[in-house]
Amino acid sequence: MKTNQKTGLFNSGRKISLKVLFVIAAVTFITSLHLTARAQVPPFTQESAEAKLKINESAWNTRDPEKIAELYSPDAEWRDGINMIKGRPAIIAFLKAKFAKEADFKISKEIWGAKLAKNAIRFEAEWRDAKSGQWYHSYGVEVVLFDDKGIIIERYASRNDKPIKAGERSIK
Amino acid sequence: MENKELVPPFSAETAAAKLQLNENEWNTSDAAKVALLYTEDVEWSDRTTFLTGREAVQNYLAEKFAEQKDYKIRKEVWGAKENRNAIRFQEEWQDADGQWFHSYGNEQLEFDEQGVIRKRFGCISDKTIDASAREL
Repeated sequence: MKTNQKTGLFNSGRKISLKVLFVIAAVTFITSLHLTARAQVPPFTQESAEAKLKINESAWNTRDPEKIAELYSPDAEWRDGINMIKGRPAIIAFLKAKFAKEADFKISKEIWGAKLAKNAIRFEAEWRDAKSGQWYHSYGVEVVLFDDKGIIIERYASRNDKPIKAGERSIK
Repeated sequence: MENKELVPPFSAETAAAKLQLNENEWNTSDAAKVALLYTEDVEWSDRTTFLTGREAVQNYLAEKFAEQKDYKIRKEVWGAKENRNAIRFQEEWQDADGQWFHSYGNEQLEFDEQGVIRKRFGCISDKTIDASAREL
């Protein structure tokens, strides 16, 4: 009985410590991702720009306007299509309307070039028109300018949309 | 500097000088002239159209300039590194019905060793405007 208890205690103790270890490892991994993102400041290399863009792409794929807006400075200047947008609150409002219209939005981004504080990016997105149900595959080009802390202060993007069938979707 | 002398690797200055020549060609609305900016086997996209080769580009541009009357474009270098440029541009044109447009676009270019564009990807967003709102 005593032995069993001890064994039981020992076992549960080991289980807890494994769980704790797993949590610590997970937290460390996530924190390091965030630190890596933050550590990516100008001047950019192809590699640091790519690492930073991965974080940017993940934020966009949450479709959470507040989260995406954090990538941009409070007074960031945007052109998205023909819309001129200034400041985080305006960006959030714009993104809310965008994601209400563009259901199931998914985006894939790729660095074209990176130099000093500027990046040029190509992207492809897929989404379903919330009203009509029509699927689209979009091609886009954006250029961004970062401040010295690695926050985007200017972003100019154009995108063109091609109607597709649901079965033609290619962005995973 | 002559266009032929403006080859990679680009500085902001050489990229700007080369882009001025590129802009001049586009402003002729002459598809054959504009097509010469690109290599014979160029990989080229405009909006959702993806093309390969100078001839296909020329045909596409001939249609574009037929549809977009009184076409004017202004280009600006966003960044230049090695053999790649990122460019912002604005266009104004009118369609067959006389509706005027102001368009905003970005393009990304890659040059070969002779300074001829071998890859071009462009995206454009069109805004309808009154004739009096033209800026270019």
